Amino acid sequence: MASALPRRITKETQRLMNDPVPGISAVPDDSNARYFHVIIAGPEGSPFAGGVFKLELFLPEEYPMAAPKVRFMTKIYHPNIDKLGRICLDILKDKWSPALQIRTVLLSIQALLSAPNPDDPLATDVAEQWKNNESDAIRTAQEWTRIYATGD
Amino acid sequence: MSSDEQSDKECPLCMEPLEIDDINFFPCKCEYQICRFCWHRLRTDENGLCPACRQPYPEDPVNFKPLTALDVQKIKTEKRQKQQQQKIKICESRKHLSSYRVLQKNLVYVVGLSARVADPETLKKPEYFGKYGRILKVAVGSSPSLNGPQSASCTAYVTYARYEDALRAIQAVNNAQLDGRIVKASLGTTKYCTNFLRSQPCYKPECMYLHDVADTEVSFTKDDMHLGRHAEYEKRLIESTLREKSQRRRASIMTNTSGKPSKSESVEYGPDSRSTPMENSHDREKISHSRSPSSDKNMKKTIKQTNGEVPENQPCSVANNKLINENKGADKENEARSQLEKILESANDVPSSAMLEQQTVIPATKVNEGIGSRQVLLDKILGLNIEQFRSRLSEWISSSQNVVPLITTTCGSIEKMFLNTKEKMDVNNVKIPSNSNSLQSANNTAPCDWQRALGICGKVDNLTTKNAVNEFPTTFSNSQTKMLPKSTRLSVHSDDDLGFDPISESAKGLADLLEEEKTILPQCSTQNISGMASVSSSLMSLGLQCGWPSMGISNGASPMSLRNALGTDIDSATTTTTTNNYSCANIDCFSQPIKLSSQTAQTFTQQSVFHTNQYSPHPYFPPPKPQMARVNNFVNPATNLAFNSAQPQRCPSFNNNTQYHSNVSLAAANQIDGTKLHEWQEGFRALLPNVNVRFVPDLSIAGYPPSRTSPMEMQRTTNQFSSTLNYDQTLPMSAQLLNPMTSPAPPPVPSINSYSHPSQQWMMPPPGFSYISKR
Repeated sequence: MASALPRRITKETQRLMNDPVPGISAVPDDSNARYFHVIIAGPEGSPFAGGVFKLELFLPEEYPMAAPKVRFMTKIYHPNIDKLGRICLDILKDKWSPALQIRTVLLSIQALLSAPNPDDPLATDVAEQWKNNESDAIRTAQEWTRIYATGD
Repeated sequence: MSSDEQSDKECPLCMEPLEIDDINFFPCKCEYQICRFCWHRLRTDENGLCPACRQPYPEDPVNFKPLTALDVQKIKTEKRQKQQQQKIKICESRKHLSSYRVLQKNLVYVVGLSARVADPETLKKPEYFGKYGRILKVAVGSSPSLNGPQSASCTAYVTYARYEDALRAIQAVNNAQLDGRIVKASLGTTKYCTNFLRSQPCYKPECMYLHDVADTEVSFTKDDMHLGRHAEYEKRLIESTLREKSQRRRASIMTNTSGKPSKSESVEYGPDSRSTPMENSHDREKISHSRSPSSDKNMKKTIKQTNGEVPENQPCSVANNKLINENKGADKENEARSQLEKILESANDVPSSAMLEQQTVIPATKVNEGIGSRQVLLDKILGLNIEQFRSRLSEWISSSQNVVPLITTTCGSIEKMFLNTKEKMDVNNVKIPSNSNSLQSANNTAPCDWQRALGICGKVDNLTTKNAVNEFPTTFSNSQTKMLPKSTRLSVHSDDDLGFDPISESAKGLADLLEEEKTILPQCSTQNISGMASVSSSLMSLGLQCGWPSMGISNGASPMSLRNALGTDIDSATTTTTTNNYSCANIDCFSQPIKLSSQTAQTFTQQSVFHTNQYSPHPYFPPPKPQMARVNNFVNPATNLAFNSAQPQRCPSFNNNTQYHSNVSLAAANQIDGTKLHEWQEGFRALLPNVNVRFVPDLSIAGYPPSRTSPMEMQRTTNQFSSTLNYDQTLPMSAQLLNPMTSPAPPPVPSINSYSHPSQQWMMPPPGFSYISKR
């Protein structure tokens, strides 16, 4: 199992290709089967609506015992996502479970865009803005989405 | 891990199929099922939490039921069954193919070969089948020939690389002659490989059977082959190839028509060279060389003809040449047309096509004028027609010949069917004997039952006959025991009747003796009373002699008994009356049964017993009844001292008495009880200790089998002998009692003497009779 690609990764990849999640697409890299190019559409009803965000997903050697590593490649004004694109999500850290899959992780990220959590920030300035003046924060988020997440 | 097709479950973590042991493995309460490998990894290398509920795993799995050996075996057997079912399905799908024979286009089946050429290497040579095309394989076999005179013919299967070659070979070889024999060829058929039918790989490198499913068009069952459908298919193939050939011939005809101008040109040169025949011939030869070979041949023929005819008529030769050329062209066209017509027509119309050919020949003959040319042309035309006709016939015959292998196969199948029927018949025969055996066993049982029934019937009959025989000798023995002076028929029957009365008399006598011995000592007055009773009884008998009516007798008897009962001792009175008057005693007993003493009861029972014994033989001797009455008369007068009285007057009265007597005894017998009888018998035996006494009822009660009749007879004889002795003893008692008034003491003494001396008893009857004569 260690040397060859695990059966689970193969099956998950096939399922993602055959039965994609609405609003999410994950395509494996040509040279590395553990590396996925992900595109998540901004959820409706959120300041990120209309935006298309690129992410990268990597399955570590210990997967599924270890959580996959996910990072935003597109700039986004979100209190739980820092400038480098790192995501602060519990299931990607201590709450990871082998029962979770790639599709469940991506769905969770999409949900995070709809419901930011300023109490556990990764970008403190954005979090402060989100707390003090939410309307301005939302406006800023919309601007960033229009500037960076569109026109690709 | 080994993958199991049976289990569809997979580990959600590693996506590997769960093993048989993991199916029942649930390590967490939430029943999130994972394989044991992942479980072990989570506990040892990871945080040890359940992926689903994020709770720590317990030390032991919550729900884990390891499979037993039986379960493992069951699972394995189920797998095997599934695999077998799949194989069976495949086999069943291919089973119906075993009955099919597939026609092979490139396979030629030849019949009628001689032994000389029946060799694969020989047949592959160009002289034989090799000239038609490349041969892949030749198989040779011998089969019994259908023709009687020929010894044996060989068969061959020739496999060509191309089916066109096979068809050409069939056309050429069919109905051809080889070594004086007619050879017939047709397309051959092939079976499916048995390994293929069983869905198994075939390991034979040169296996010529089929390993793939063929088209339905070329697949025929035995019935289809019997109907000749494969032959029809063969015809279609041959016809299709013939059509192709006919198209080629049409092209050749066009070339021939294009050749005509060249011929006309040659004709034109002819007139120019008429002056010098030799030069003309040379020129023609040069011209002919420049043209096609076929035209060369034609020109040569024309040259020869012209040379032959030049000395006679030169202009005529020119005209003949022209006509000949025209005729040849017409013939060719006719041939083509006839061939087309033949192709269109079916094989069945061969004769009609021959007629058409003959009709086409007639105009050609009319046109021809020269005799030699006519003959040549006719020969050519007829030859062609004959050849074509033969080919048609050969085709037709080949189609009919195709039936031959059918016949052989059908014969083989018929033989197989016959063998099967034979086997079935054998099975039936095997069954029939078993049925017959069962029938025989039934018959054996039936006769056994019948024989048993007969045996039982026989035994029953034997028993009845034995019983009859046993009873019959007893009567004879009873008669033999009697020893009386008279020896007439009446005496014989009387002896039978006396056989029982003396016994009763002897019993009474014995009882009287015992009572007298007892009464003499305590009571002496009773003797006088008994004497008076005897006198009265004698007077009654005298009254009977005077001629009193029977009713008067019965009336007189009853008051007599009543007076005795009232005035005297019952025991002594009854005993004396019984000794003196038989009928009176019976009446007395019947009238007063309650007052009877034990001894009288015993005597009474004895009488009844003897009477019952007396009546048992009556069914065998109904006539003796009136004679028995006479016997009673004989006995009663002796006891009553009235022996010389007239018998006719007394017969009716005694008859009535005897009937009454018998009725009384029968009634008494009905009243008897077993206990009383037993007591009486014991008493009687006590009276006679020296004599072995046994009674018939006792024996019957004991249940002795019929085989013991002989000792019964002996005992009866002894009883009768003793009874006879007692009978003799009673007579002197009665005689002495007539004189009791003179001396009461002497009577007991002579009785004792008579008992101790049997010989004297035999001498006593004369004194009794003497007393009667004196009176």
